[in-house]
Amino acid sequence: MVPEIMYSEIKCVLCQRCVNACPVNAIKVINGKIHIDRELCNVCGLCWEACLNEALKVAGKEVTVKEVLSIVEKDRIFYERSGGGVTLSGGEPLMQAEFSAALLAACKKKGLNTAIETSGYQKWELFLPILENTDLVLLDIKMMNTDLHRKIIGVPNNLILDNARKIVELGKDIIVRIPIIPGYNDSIENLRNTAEFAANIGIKEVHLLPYHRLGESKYNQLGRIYNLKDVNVPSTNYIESLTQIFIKNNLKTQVGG
Amino acid sequence: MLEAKVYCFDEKFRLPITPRIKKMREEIVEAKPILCSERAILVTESYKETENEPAVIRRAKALKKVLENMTVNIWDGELIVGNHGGNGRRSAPVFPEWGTYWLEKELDEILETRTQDRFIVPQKVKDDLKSIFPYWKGKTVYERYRAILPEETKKARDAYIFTRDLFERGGYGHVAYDTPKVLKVGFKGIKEEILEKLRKLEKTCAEDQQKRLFYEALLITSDAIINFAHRFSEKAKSLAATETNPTRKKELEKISEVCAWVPENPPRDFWEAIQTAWFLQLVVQIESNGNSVSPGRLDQYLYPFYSKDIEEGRLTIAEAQELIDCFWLKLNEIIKVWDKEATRVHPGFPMTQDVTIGGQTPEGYDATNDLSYLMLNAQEHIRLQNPQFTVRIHRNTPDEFLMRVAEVVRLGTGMPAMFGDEICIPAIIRTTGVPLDRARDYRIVGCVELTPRGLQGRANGAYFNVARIVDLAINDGVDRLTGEKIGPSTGDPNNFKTFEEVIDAVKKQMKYFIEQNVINNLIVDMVQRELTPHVFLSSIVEGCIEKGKDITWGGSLYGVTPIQCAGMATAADSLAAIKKVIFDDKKITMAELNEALDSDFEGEKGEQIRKILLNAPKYGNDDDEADRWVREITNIFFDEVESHKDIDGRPYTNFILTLGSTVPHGWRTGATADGRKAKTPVSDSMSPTNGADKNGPTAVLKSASKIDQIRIMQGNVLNLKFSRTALEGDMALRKFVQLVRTYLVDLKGMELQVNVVDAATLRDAQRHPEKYQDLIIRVAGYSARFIELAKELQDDLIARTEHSMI
Repeated sequence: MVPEIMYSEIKCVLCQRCVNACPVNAIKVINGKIHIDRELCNVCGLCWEACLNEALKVAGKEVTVKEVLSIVEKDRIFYERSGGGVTLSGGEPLMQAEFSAALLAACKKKGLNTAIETSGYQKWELFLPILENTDLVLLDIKMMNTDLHRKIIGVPNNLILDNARKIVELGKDIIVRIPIIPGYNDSIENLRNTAEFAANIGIKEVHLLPYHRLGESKYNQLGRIYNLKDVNVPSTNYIESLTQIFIKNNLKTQVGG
Repeated sequence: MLEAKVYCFDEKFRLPITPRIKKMREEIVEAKPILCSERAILVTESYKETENEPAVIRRAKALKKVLENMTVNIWDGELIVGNHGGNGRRSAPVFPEWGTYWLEKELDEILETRTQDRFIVPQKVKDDLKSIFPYWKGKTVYERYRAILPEETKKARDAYIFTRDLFERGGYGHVAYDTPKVLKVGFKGIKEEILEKLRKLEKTCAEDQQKRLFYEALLITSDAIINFAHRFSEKAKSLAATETNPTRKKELEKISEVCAWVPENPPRDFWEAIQTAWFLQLVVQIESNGNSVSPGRLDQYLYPFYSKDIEEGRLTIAEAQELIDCFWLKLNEIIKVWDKEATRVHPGFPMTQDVTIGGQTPEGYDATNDLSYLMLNAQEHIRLQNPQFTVRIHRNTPDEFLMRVAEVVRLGTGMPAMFGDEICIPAIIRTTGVPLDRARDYRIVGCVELTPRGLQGRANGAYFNVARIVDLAINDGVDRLTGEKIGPSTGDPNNFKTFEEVIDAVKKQMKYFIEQNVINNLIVDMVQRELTPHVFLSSIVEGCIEKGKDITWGGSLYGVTPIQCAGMATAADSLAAIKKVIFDDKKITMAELNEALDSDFEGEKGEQIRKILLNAPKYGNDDDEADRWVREITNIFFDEVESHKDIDGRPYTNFILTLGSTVPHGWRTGATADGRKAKTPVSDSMSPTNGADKNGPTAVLKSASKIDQIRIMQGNVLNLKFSRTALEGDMALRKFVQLVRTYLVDLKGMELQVNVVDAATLRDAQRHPEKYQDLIIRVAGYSARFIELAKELQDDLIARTEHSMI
C-alpha cells in the first residue's frame, strides 16, 4: 500500500504550477487537461505544495500504530458517552493484516471498543490475531455462487464463507453486510441463499447496503476507471421488498449501516 | 416549586398544528413589514406637553399617551391579543427619542429599496414623520451622545474597531424582567408596593425626592398598562356583539373577560397567565426600541396555571397548545425599523425575544415539564424567526426530552439553540456573584446572554473586531486599508526579534481600544440616564422599586456590560500563521508578510505567500498548536474587558457573538495573516474560519472547549452544519444527542446550535466549495464530504434534499 496523488478537475484552474514543480516530469497538459503519469510519479508531494487551489493532494500516508492511536485518543471523550469506538474500514483492513492486528491490540489495551469492516478474504492464521482484539465484525457476503463470485469479484468465496463460520464459532459479534448491486447480486435466489446460509451458521443480524455512487469521483481523481457507471441506484421500495427474505429467516434486518 | 421527578415522554404531548394556527401563520408570513407613525406622533405630542417636567415623568406620560391612543386591533382567530403598531400585522412603530437623523435621510428612498429589511412606507406615514423631525432636532439620544463624545474616542469609534451600533441610537432591552412576580401579584400588587414605598419616603431628603418622582412615574405606567388591557377588553366586547359565529363569539367574550382582569390582577387560569406574559412582552417593546426583550422561562412560569387547569378539568392539552402557538405567533408581529448600518449587523429583523425551556429548578432538580414539550411542538408548528428559542441542558436532562429537542432541531430552523448548565451556572456566579439558586434559574436573553433573574445586561457593549487588533500590532497601529494611524505605536514590526514581541504589541493595541470602547459606552449610558429612563421596564425588574431607581440608573439587582468579540478565529489563525511561518519556519519575513497583506496577496509572490499562510495550523481541528492561539487571543481580550467597570460600577464581561457584524467588520479589515483576503467577512462568533476545520464536528467541539468559556458570562455561539440526511433516522438522532451531551456536559461547552443544511446551501457549496470544506452529507448509512463528490451526485443529493424538505 502506497500513497497516491489525487487530482480534482473541478478545482483545477490549469495554472500549470504543478507541471513546472514536478521533478520527474510526470505531469503534462494533454488536450487542455492535466494528465498524471502514475508510473513515473514517486509521490514526492512537490506538485501538491505548488498547487494554489487544492486541486492536487496526496491520498494515504504511512503511519505508525502510535500515531494512529494518538488521533483515536483525541475523541475518547465522545466514545465514553456514546459507547462508540474504533472501526477499521475500507480499503480493506485485512490487506494490512499485521498492522491492523497491532493497531486493534493497542486500542483494546486502551479499553476502546473495536470493530472491523471487511471482505473476510484472508488466511485464517492472519485473520485470527485481528479477531482476538475485535469486538464486532462487519462482514461482507457479496454472493453465494462461488463461480459467479470468482467471475465477478475475482476470487472464489469458500475462504470467506469458512471464515464466517469460524468467526461465529469464536463467539464474536458479527453482522453480515450485503451490498445490493442491481444486475450483479440482487437476484432473489442469491439473497435467499445468503439468508439461509447466515441463519444456518448462527448469524443473527444483516445489513442491506443499497448500491450508491459515492466512490465515483474518487476513482476519477485517482485516475482509475469506474466500471459501474451504468448501474442505477436501487429504489427504496425494491430494497424494502428484499428485506422480507431475511426477516423470514429470523434475521434482524436493517437497510443501511 | 416542582419536585424532582423522572419525566417520561408521552406521545399525547406530540400535537399537530390546528387550522386556526396554520391560517394565522400564513397571514403573518405574507404580511409585509410596514412603517407606522402613530407612536411617533403621540410621543411627540406628549413631549411637547411635558417640557417642564423631569425625564422620568415625561417618559411615563409619553407611554401613557401611546397606550391610551394607539389603534388596538384584534385579528381574526386570535386568542392572545395586543398589537405593536397600528397599521398591520407586522407594523413597526418609530422611536424618535433615540434618533431621527438617519430616518430623515433614509425615509424617502432607502427604507423601501434597500437590499434587506425593506419596509412599506405609506405617504401618510412619511408626511407624519416629516412633520415631527424639526421638533426632535438636537433632542435625541444619538445627537447628545455624539456631541459629548471625546474626540479621541470618536476617532476610534469611527475607525470601526468597535461599534455599539443600534444601542447608540436605541433603548435597552437585555433585561430578565420578573414575569413570575406579575403572575403572582398583578399590577395591583405592584402599585400597592409602590404606594407603600412612597409613604415611607423621607420628604426632606433630596435623594428621596428623586425617588418620589420615580415612583410617581411608575404609578403612571402601571395604570397605563392596565387601561391598555381594558381597551382590548372593550374592543373584544364590541366585536363579540356583532359576531355571528357562536364559537368565535364565545372566544371574544372570553378575551374580553381576560383583558378586563389581567394584568391588573393575578391570573386565575392558564389563558390569563399567557395573556399577562404577552402584555408584559409587548408594552416593554412599545416603551422603547431596545432589542432582545425576552419572555424567559415560560415553561416554568406558566406551569402552575397549566397544571391546576388540567387537574381541575378546565383545560385540555390541545387547548393549552393553541394558546402557546398563539403566543409564538404574536412574537412574530414585533418588528423594528433600524438604519442601514444597524441592518447590516442585524439583518433579517432579529428581535431575539428569547424563550428558554428545560434546565434546572432553583433547587437543582430537572425542570422539564409538560409545557417544555408543548413549546417544542409550538416551534415545530410555527418555525419562524421568533421566539429565539433555547433549551437548557444539564447532566440530568432526560434522554427522551433531548431526543424530542433533536427532532425539532432537525427541522432546520437552527433552533432551539442548546445551552449547557454545567458551565453556564458557574460562569454566572463567577462574574456576578449571584446566589446558586438564582444562578440555576437563569434564562437566555436575546441571542445567547446568560441572565439570572434581576440582572440587566447592558448588551451590547459593542462588537469589537479582534482581527484588526492583531493586524494593528504587526503594522504599528496603522489601519491597513486607509493608511491612517489609529492605534498606539507598538514598534516597527520588522524589528520584532521574537514572537513574544508580537503578543506584547497585541496586548497594547487591545488595551487601548477596549479602553476607548468603554468610554464610548459610558457616554451612551450617561445620555440614556439623562434622557430616556425606562420607566415601565423598571416596574417589572427586581431591585428598581426596592432601590427607588430606574434601570438606567443601576436600579436592577444585578448588572453587567458585555463586549462582543468578533473575528476571533481570524485573529487566532493570524497569530498561529505569524508564529509558524515567520518565527518558527522562517519561510517569509515580517516585511514580506506586510507587503503581501498591503497588496491583498497580489501577484505570483502574493499568491504563494497566501498559500503558505493558508497551510499554517488553524483553529477548529483539535490541534493544540493552533488552538493555543485562540486561547491566547481570547484571554488577552477577556483580561482587558474584565479590568473595567460599567457606569453602575458593575463588571464588564465577555461575549463571543458576531451576528451579521462579520460582514461590515470585514469591509473595514484589510488582508489578514491567516490568508483571508481584504474586505471579506471576518470569522463568525466562536466558529472556526469557514472551511478551516477539516477534521469533523468532534474536532471543532474539542477545539472550542479549550477556550476558557467560564469567562464568557454573556454567552457564545458555536455553529455546526449538518445535512438534513445526516440526522435522518433514530440511530443518527441518538448519536447526535450523544454528541450534544458530550460537548455540553462532559466538555463543559456553553452553547451549540445546529444548521441543518438545505438545497440552496448545497447549491452554494457547488459554486463555492472552498467555503464548505466541513459540510458532511449523509447518504444511506454512509457519510461523505459534499464537496468531494462528483457534480452529478451532488445534483442528485440536492434533488433529494429538496425532496425531503417539509
